Amino acid sequence: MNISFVLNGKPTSVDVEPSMLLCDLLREKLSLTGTHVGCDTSQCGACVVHVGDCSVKSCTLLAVAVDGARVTTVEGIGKPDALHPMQLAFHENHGLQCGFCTPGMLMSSVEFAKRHPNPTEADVRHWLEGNLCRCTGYQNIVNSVLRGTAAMHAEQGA
Amino acid sequence: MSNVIGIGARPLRKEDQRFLTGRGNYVADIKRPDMVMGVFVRSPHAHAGIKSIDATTALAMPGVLGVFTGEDLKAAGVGGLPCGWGITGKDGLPMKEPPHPALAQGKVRHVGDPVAFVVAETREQAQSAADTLVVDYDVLPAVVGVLDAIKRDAPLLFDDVPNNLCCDWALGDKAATDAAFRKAAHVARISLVNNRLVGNPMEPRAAIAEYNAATGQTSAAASA
Repeated sequence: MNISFVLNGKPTSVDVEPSMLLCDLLREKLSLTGTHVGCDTSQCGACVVHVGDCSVKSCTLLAVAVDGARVTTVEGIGKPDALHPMQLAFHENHGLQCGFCTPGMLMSSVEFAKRHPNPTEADVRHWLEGNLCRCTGYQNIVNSVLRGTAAMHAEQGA
Repeated sequence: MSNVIGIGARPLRKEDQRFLTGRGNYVADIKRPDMVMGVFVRSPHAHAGIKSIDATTALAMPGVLGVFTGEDLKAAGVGGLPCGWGITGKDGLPMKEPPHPALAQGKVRHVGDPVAFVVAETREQAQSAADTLVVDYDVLPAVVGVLDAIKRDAPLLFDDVPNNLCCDWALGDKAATDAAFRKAAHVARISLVNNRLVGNPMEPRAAIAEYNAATGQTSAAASA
């Protein structure tokens, strides 16, 4: 099946098998390996991307479902020399170690920040319950999301 | 940022940028020319004999290059996975360390025990072929929990390991400890059962190996 969608701001048209998952389309066909697959069972959250403005687990979505949609992956929110405020906050607050969960953490957190201008720590922990990390410990991730959220809103207000 | 230098400083990591921007290079991100993929077929039973494995359908499917079982490993002389740390029991004997083949031989001993490895040109082909593998199991009684496992009539996982007991281990000065307890004003008793601990990083276990026939060398990359 042929599907067309906007991927990280770029119109994209691609042939996919009806059974192909969005994470496999991104990783295998479009070589965007920033989106990770940690569990394949929708538990770990390493595969989170944005479809429209919503963060979704791309291991649980068929690729054909994004026909006509806007899809954003971790590669689309910032570049190494121009980090997104949330990426910068993770860097400055030691919000990552091995980095495997980080793309999903970032994509979940960016949607969180847009929805929660003044979040509490409990808000962050509740939102991130679908994202697992096995090495950093969640405290620095929560700190990063709080700082990143503040930075995103400060940037918008400026 | 603090201006402390050296011990107590709060340096920023230099490796973050690639991980933050989706440019890490994990094992599953590596692609090599002519790369093929393998999928494990795992036991759905906690304890069962393997009567037969029929790979006829799988081997005839598109892209399938091979189906390997524990018997193939045995025939090829591939060894098992040794325990990295052996201990000696109270009886002065080394702990029981039964063979631990990479693919089950004769018997599966836990749910998820790998019984076959299916190799195909793509992951989807390997997975589809793996789903057609017919493994005939002779399901055996299972025990869960260490205290049940050492009961007198518990089913044996290994015929040559009585009571399923790896070893009975003790550490310390028993005489001094007994004496201290005898003199104690109060003695409290508590039974502690340690849960199983598994190192479980986010990156799934993966490995990629490449054989260069010209140099005779194999290079390999694996997740930790």
